[in-house]
Amino acid sequence: MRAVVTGMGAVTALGRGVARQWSAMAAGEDGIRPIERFATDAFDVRIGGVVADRNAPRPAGAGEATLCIEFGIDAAREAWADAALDGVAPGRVALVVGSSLGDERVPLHRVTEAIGDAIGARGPRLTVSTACTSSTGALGLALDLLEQGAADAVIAGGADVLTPLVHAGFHALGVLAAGKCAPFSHPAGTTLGEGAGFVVLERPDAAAARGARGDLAVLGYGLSADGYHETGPDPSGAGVARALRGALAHAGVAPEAIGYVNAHGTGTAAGDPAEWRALRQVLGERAERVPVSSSKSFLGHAQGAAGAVEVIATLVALERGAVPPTRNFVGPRPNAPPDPVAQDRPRPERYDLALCNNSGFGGANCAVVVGRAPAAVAPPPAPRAVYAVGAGAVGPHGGALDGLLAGARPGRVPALRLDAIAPAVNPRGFDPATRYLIAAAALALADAQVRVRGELRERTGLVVGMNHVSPESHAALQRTIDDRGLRYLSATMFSRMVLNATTGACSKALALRGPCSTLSAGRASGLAAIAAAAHLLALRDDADRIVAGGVEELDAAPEPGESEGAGCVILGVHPPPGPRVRLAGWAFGGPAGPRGGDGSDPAVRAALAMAGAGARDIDVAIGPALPALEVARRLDPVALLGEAGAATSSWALAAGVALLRRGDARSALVIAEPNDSATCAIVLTREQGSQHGGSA
Amino acid sequence: MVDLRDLEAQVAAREALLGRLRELLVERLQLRRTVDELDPDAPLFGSGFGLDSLDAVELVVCLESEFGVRVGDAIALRQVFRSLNTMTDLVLAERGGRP
Repeated sequence: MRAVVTGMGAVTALGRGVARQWSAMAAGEDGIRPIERFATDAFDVRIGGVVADRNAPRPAGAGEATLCIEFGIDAAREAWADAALDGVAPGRVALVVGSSLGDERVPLHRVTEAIGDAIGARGPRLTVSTACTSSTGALGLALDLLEQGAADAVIAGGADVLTPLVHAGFHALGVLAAGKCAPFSHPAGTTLGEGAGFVVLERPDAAAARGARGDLAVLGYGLSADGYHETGPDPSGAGVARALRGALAHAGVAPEAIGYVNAHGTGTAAGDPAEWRALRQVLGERAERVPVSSSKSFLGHAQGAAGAVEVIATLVALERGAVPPTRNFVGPRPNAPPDPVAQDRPRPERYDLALCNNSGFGGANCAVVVGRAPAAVAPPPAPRAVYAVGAGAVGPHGGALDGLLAGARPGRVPALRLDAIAPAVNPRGFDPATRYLIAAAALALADAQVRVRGELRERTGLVVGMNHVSPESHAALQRTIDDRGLRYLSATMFSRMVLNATTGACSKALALRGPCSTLSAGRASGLAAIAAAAHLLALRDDADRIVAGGVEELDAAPEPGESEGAGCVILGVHPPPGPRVRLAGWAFGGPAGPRGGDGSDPAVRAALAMAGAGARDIDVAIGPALPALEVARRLDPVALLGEAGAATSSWALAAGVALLRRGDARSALVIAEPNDSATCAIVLTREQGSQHGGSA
Repeated sequence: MVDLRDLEAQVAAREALLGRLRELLVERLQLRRTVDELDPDAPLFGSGFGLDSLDAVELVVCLESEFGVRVGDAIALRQVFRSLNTMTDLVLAERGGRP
């Protein structure tokens, strides 16, 4: 579904405000400058696309990290003011924040919650963390939330800050350019950046009804996983190509209609050629003529915020009849686009549609189609039915699915034989979170009797809910810094500081290369990932199956009652033979807090409505007790297995699947634990089905 | 005429260095093998120990932080990282053949 862009806001190396970002670019200025905020003496590279008025050394106690939330609030406020949406109820305003590393002091979803509190967004507040594709993915998830009716307006974008750790990590990886980065050109290398960018998205009819501008739109998005390497791209470009194709198909746009490509174009030796190969594969003839430029030559690589600030740069240029250029281009490296718009200033050119692409650590790819909203729109496809065709879980109970219902003493996962569960996987260097996720996913695939082979790999996705990176990998990185200094930190451990490193390792290990994302929503993370995956399957056709769930790893000193592990379900659109479990409804709601009206949870209400059911039709509710919800029977996953953060609600759903399959219940309502990000609910129903199943 | 004691000292130094590199490989790259299982002539990448480009980055950092040895370009890197023995050769050469 397309959404119109009714507001934009940005804080970047080019300055504060969307207008300033454009005027600087139009004047041929870039924002790459010497880093003064922290010491760079130990490094060979000392420049970055830092926000100029925050480049001074930070006062004690106000580290670089706090800037992430500050940039996010400033850009989101500008976008919100630009949209001038005064009449809308706060509970109908959703927020989706893409961030790679966020604020290093707090879990990522806290960044989103802080931005949401500052601007008064009380609808679902979700975090996408897929490294350098985070904010691109946030725009995509925002389209899905609007399509589900979870909000009337979504503020979507991202924020990230250049910290000494990020600088050291990319330095160790050897991908930083000595001078300002020159995408597609000699010499290779990237320049880091920072900042935030947000847009306000609304349904076209709603924007028209209130007389808001409706000329610019986000038309569609595509996701994929390379399943190839922790930090580098699949050199063939096949992973990027899947995301590009997904975006074009979702937008209903042919390659010939694309007038400009805003490339990820980091400038690295591996990244640029892989991206160009992908563009050639997808755009065919059109690739030889279409202008392809990289805004990173102006902004630096703003990490998780890159996608949003680049989409904003693209939309503003398109509006003014220009294509953004690639600065610093001196001569093409092999496999560079023929028209990189190699100049300092934007080039006058009229076009209606642009394709913006980003790729990141963990093999994450995300592309969006943006531009002038077309007058005619194809009707949305009829939603496909989504089934839970398999489930798997590891936790304090061990690795048996029924163990979820029997319960266990809270704590760690007992000794896990990954080689028995997933014998083909090389487990070298896996941290516990990665082992748990791969184990739960492999158990679920085995339960579904699915072997991911051949072209099934490209049509099987992975969506994971997580709240923080592996504590073990985090501690290992810190040890290398303590022992050897920031300059000599472990690049392997650094690559695991992105939340989606675990997802990326799982997609690589199990060859899950379809739509892929990593979400965070506090204690709702696991269920939120499953609901987001259900929506992807129901309304898109670039996957037949998605592995979805949540994972949690305890730190060195857990509190009593805390647990760890992972839960995964296999969602599919092909109904299995015999009795089967269908996801009849799913929905997101705002953060827990005072409820209006009848006191019912908006997510529960909406999920039941989608399923065409009332609370009295539900045999069992799995989740926390809700005052306004009376059901025949309730199971409390926290009482059964302990408090396991992002894993708890994924266990709840897996338990529901097990119950319904056993015939112990005909319907279940699974509810996530209350938290400050979002609520989420899923309705499961048992269907009899035919003995042969369907093969639609 | 070769001074045998000198030769013995050189051999011992090489053995010690190789031992240290083996330890570092297991420790920093989290190889699931014991130090004794690492054949000093086996290829580090691909069919040998199965290392990848991220491991190569770790090895570059390792040579620099442990031995103060900086490897130049990508071509030199390929030569140096063929095996444990070629890495040992480089560190010894950078030390001017002295332990």
